[in-house]
Amino acid sequence: MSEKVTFGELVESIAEETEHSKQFTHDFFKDFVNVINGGLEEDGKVNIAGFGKFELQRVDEREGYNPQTEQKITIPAHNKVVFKPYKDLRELVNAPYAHMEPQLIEEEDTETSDTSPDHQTIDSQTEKSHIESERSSDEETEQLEQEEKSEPDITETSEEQEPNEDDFIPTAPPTSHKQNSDEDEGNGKDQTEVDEESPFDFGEPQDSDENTAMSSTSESSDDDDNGDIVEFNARQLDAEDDLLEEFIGSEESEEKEQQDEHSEYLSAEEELESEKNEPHESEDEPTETVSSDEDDKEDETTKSEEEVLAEEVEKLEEAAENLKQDQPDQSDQEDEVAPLPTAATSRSSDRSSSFSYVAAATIILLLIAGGAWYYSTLPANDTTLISESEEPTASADATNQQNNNNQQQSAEQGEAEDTQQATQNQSQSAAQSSATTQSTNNTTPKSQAVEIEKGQTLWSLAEERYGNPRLWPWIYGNNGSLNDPDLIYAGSSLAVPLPSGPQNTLTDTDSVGVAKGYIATYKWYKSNEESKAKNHLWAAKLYHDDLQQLADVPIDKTDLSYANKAR
Amino acid sequence: MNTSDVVAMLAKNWDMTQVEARELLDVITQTLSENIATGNSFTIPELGTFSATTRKKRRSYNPHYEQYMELPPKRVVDFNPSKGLKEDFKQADTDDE
Repeated sequence: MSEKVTFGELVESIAEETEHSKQFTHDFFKDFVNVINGGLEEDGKVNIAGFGKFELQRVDEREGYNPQTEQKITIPAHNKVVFKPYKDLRELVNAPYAHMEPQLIEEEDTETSDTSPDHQTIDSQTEKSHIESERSSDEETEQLEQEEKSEPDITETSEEQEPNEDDFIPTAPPTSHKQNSDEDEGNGKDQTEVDEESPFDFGEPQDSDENTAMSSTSESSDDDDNGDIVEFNARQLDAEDDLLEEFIGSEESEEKEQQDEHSEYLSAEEELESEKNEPHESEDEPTETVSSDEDDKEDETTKSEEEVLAEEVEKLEEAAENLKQDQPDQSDQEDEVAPLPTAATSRSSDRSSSFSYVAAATIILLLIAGGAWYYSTLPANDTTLISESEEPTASADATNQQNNNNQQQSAEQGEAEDTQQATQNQSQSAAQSSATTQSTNNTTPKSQAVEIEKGQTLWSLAEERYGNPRLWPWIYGNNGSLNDPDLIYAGSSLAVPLPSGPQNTLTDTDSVGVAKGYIATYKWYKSNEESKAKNHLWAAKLYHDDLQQLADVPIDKTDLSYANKAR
Repeated sequence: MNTSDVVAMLAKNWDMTQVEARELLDVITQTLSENIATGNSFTIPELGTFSATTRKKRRSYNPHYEQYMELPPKRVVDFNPSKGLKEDFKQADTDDE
């Protein structure tokens, strides 16, 4: 990159190409320059097709200032020579950035984000990755997909993160919190809150279908993201604390209701365990999928969340242990007997340690509800999984046996998900690292059936589809039924291949397809209209280097040597 | 002056057919284009220096939609006319326009 090439080297490479002597090429080039100069002198502009336009531009008289003498001077009107590259050259030069398009900046705090270092670094990183990925187009698509996922996600978390944490802290000491004592309503409220504030709304399309089907249990259709789960848990735990304190001062009658639910205690605690584990595991996922450059940042956010979560979990565990001490029998019997807990509860209430009991009961209820919500909003892959996750809500007073089953299954789900994520990650990284091999594997480009309209030509069709009419032989080559490339019939249907690169750019495979198309047209013209034929071979050469390999029949020597002049 | 004029002139000067002249010219421009595209810079005597420069990404404002856009970086051709050429046309003729 960016090395200086001398005029002599240029002449040499041109001489090689044209099989002329260096001296001749040199003189010819010089003469070319002279002609340009002459043309400029004559009428002020010289167009060189496919390259650019040299032009004289008038600069009006203006005020200037001499930095040495610090005096104002008048710069007289003069002409200057400018060079305006043609589109072909512009696009060729801009190729490394051709796939990037202007992006809307939608935040309202555009001024602040302009200077924010976070944005700058992320942008520059994405840029870097763009540039790195310019070589192989397949790799590009991969990266683009990934960036589309990770980019909005990260920028948004960086902004949303702070307000969220602010939310946690003030609600933690809940003196005048309006939390509903009815846990279902409270839960619903939590859900809606999460929905509104959730910055992670890029749910996979297939999930939304399934989620609408199970909307009876889950109102949120988009919150499949793991970051969301983390947030929810933290909120949920806060809400539990709130409830806990409210329940301490609440009436005894409510306690009675809770006692029935108490049998769920142990299983619920297991749920708590799994909840504790799963978010942590899944939290790793975003850090893995985003590129390593962005890892640091992501880690910071997850860490802070983990800390908050860990604190809350500790509190809960303490409360739970208190309960265990009060009810040794129950903890011994584990989850086999349902009626026993009522006995245990009566005993514990006899001991007038209703404080810890009520607290624990509240936690359990919320955990059940939370767990149910959590599993129901998991990115479910099959319907059985959904039905399993629905069970905890439906059977609030189900037997322990059932809960046990659920527990195991949900644990399996978690594992399955983790492995899925792992394989996804693997495949992603594999796709990136072996993008070149992938590009060779993609031998079947996508194509689209298009009906020919009246007055349409292959040329116009190519121009409309690709923005480049010269790609028309690609369509011809893709439709074996076509005979005369100059004759297509309105109403018949053509399979129009689609460029697989981003922004309608051609990948290597596409180029080969175009070259094949040109060879096909070459063959036809060779047998029907000889004079045009070699130009098609020449064009084929532009898209693929080794024509002999592509063509299944031997190519005329003179045509081939003509074509080899092309680059 | 357009390409065919240039081609005609060159063909006349070098006693070759216009097709040949055009082919040769195509190779020259093609070579120049490729060199610019790969980022090489080169100077053609009596004409000027060609190189490629990168414009940074920038933020722009669309007053009609009242939106900010981020325009991606761009690589452009940079041409600096040689001193001789510049001087030749500098005073050239202000009555040109």
